[in-house]
Amino acid sequence: MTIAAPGAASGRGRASASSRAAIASKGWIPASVVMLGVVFSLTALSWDVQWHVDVGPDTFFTLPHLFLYAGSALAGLASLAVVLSTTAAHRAGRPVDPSTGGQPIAVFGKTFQAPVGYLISGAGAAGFLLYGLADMWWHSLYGFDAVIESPPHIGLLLSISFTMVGVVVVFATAWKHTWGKAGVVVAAPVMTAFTMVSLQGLNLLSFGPFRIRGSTIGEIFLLAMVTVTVVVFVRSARLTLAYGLAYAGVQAVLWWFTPAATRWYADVTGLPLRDFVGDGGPVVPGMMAMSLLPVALVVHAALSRAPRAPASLKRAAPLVGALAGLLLAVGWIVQSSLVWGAPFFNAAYIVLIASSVVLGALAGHLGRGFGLILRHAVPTTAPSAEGR
Amino acid sequence: MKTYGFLLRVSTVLLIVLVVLTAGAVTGGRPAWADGAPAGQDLHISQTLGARELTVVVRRADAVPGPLRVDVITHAGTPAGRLALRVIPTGASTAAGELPAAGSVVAEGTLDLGAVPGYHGVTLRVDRPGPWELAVDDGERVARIPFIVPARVVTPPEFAAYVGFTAAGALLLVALALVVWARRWWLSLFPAGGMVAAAAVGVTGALLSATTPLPPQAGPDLDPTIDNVTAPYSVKRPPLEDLSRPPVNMHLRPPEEASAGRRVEFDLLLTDGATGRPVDDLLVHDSALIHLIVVSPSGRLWHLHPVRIGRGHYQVSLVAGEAGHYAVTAEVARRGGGVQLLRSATGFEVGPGLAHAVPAPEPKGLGLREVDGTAVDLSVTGGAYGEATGIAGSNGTPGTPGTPGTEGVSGGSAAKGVSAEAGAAKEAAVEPSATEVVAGQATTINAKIGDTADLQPWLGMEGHMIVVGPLPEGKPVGKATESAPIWAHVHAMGAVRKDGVGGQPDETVAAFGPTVRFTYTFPQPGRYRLWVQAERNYSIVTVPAILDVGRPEGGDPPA
Amino acid sequence: MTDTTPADGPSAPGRTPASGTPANDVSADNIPAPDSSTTTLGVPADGTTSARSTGKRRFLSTVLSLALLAGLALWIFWPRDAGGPAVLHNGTAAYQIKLTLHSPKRGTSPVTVHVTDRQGKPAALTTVSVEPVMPHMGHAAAPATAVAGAPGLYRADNVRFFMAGAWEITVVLRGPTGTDQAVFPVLVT
Repeated sequence: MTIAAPGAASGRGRASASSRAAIASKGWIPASVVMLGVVFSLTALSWDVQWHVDVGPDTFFTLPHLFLYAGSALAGLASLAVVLSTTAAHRAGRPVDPSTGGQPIAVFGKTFQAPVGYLISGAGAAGFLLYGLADMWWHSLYGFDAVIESPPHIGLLLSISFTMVGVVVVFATAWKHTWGKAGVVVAAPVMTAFTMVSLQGLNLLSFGPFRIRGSTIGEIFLLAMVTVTVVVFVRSARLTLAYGLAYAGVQAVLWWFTPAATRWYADVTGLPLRDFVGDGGPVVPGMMAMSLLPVALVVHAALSRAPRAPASLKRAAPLVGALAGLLLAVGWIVQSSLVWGAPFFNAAYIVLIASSVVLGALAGHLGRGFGLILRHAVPTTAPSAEGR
Repeated sequence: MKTYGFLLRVSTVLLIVLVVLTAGAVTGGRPAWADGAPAGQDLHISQTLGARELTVVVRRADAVPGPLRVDVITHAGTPAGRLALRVIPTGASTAAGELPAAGSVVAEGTLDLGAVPGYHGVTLRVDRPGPWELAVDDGERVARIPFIVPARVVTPPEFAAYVGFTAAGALLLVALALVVWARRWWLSLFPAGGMVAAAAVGVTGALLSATTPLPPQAGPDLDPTIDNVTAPYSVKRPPLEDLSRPPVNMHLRPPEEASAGRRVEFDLLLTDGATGRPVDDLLVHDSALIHLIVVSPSGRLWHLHPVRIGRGHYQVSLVAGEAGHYAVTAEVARRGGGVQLLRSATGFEVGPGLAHAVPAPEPKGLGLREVDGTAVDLSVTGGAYGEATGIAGSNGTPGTPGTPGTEGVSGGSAAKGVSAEAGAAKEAAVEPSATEVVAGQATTINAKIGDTADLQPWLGMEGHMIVVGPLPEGKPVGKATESAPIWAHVHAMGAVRKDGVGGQPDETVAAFGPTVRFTYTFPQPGRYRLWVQAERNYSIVTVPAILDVGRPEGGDPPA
Repeated sequence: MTDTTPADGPSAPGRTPASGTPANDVSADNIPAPDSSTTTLGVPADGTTSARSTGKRRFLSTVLSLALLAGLALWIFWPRDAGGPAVLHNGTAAYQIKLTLHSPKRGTSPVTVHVTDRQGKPAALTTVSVEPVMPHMGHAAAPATAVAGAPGLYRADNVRFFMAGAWEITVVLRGPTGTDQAVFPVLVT
């Protein structure tokens, strides 16, 4: 293993100006590897869900599964490598690139400077791989074609969501760099799109006589929260626009890729598509909100009108979140009638809108908090060469 | 930094692996990618239970213990009534287990069959994987259908994949924890290295899982037991190259008394050609345990599916059309081997009976006719002679007394205005280039049944064609077919797919046809009898025809 | 930092002073560095003794883990139930049957059939016969009549399995309620 070796080249205990510059310019490499990993995961998930809906057979060895596992393995390996090398460098007293290292953290009374984002993404990847065994056990108990909402599946998906949160943190930490900014506005939509599928577990909670799907409300809550988080974090109309566009772009690419890949793979394996294929849009991109771009811009406009003081932001965030919840709920109603031909009006929609507004307020509150935490993750100091 | 170089290398390797896999998927044709694990399939089985022709569909059992759905599809003319269904485990096992021993009824249910043909279902329960028996009881006799409840089997490479990836995850966690908390950070290199190794094991397992051959299958290859169904990889197996078994002898136990126009019930006793013991390892092939073909003295044909009532003991019944000698053949498939044709050397005799039980008229050759109210057009597409439709055989139907009764003048638009002999003559005139069917050359016989695509798959096929010949002149068809040198059963597969999830479509899918095509090479010249069979409106349409096969130029066909 | 410390003392919480020695050289750990004796709080600064004991411990732990690995491998690969009797359970509508083939090897072997009714009470049968067949080969061996011993227990002493391979033993039970049959597939080696 050569992970530990780099210090030998750059000298021990001190950092030369040249090595410092080299570190600063290289943070994008591991960041883009973990990004690649989670993009694999999202694509593979959309493909896999579509495969199960349109074609069917489930074995370990399907290409979507392979991509899903490979995505996590890639993210996990990259995270581990960064954590290892950063920690080693830090303990050896060599300079640590703040754009990977993040802020020092105290854990159990011990201060260490570990790259928090990579720790999170690595732990998520580990969780995913561990849940694989639970999934095998579950399948052996409950049969060949299990549902997406099975506990091991939800565990698997949430683990990947966790990895994706880590990726958002990784890029947020590198806020000072252009690639950091670009990464945040892409990683946040990827994370959101993926987590929507994990939220299918909420369908176990349905709302009494109105039968509103728990997952729909969960998705609206998630979207409102992430949007507020991003807006609070980026504080820029341009980047908010970029976030909305990235989300729409992910949706568009998946909309095209998912059915195409499913058909192609069915063709290659010689398996027939089910008879009903073709009704409605592809599942995962169809779930993604089409109204996110305007909602994000509205959220940005509303928040930037509020005075800059932290206290007023705290007061404004729930209101803006509620507004976002309302808009997203309305957008969802329109979208579901467009994509799946659901009725335009239904008494249950009142419940949906009301709960979206209430949960939107909560989402706004939490989103503000997360946005500020992300801001804290951005290192304010120069590379800490001194260590301890 | 070198670290990132390492990272780049690792990710490059992973990317290359993925690219190679994808390329393998594209170029590899159709390996076992999607059916590495034995996903259960529905079992379709036709049963001639007393006066009823039923299709029993045992749906795949997804979870064990769990529900087992059994659907019974009835056909036109099936009398209404009640069936009792029971499921009984039959497999031996090395473990005593907590469940009661095999042999006792685990679940039962009843089905009320209506007079209208269609679909009747009941949900039973199975409590263990392995061999089972579905008893279908109509009050007079019990059909015992063997079937297998599969277990979810994780192949060793799949197991390695799961365990490898899981170990990779665990080691990743350990490595991260060591990095953060251990005083010696380099200790985490060991779990990190282990993680790479475990991931490699996982990837290897995943790759192998696509191509590892399956062990001999309990059911098709081996006598199923609970052990070899549950753990096919760990049971000890004999090192068998050849899984086939000795041929089968069929003894037809004739009815005590059989008279024309009345229901005749008879037994079939199957014994092993080497030991004389009952043969109780028949497999379901083409949706039946036995395909029994019975031909009456005047050329009526029955395609029946005897029910298993005991070990090697089958039973079937039919309403005899007329008095005389009936020829009988059976197609069976034994475990571990292919399909064999059993020709009864004896057939059975039916004495005179009811007055209306008279011989069937001699059928015509190719061309239009009406069968049971359906317009049917038979034509031939010849091998070396190219495209042609026609009537070749029609000149070979001399003296067809009473044929107008079976040939439609009042049928659908296709048959409109075409009266029997006149129509045949007219067609002959219109098609001067009518093909002569010649022995030794592949010939396609097209049967257009009705004029919309509303045929139902019967026995998993669009259509079936029984070919018997060459037949001597003047002998009753029953006697003649019993000793005919050629007895063939041709399938029209067409658009019926069997590789979908759960297997083939059942008879409720009425979307095939209207033309079904059979390609067959008549080995010898002479006069043949054909019967084309297809299902429409839950009723089997049987189209009899006569076909004269010519001698090829330059003498007899090879072989 | 502490990775050059040869001592295996309890890990001290909080910061440890930087030693200034190579941090990332794994092999450095094997050689006790002369100046490393003060690194860890609370550990006696006797470099040589602790290094020696560490070496011993390391050796011991290596031997132990190797032994553990070997044991694991043995346990995994040790051939199981080789030559033991083959026991199979099956049943009919009226009886539950346990068949024991005492020596599933080529040659003759006793076969014991334990028959109970569905409630588990020993069954009284008039005759019990054991009929071995090789279904693939089409060989049938001479049937044997099992003699009643204890209640419900029937034993045929010399059942001949003349070649190795897949056999099928049909047990025919003749009793007051009629004749029942059950088939037991066995592998003879």
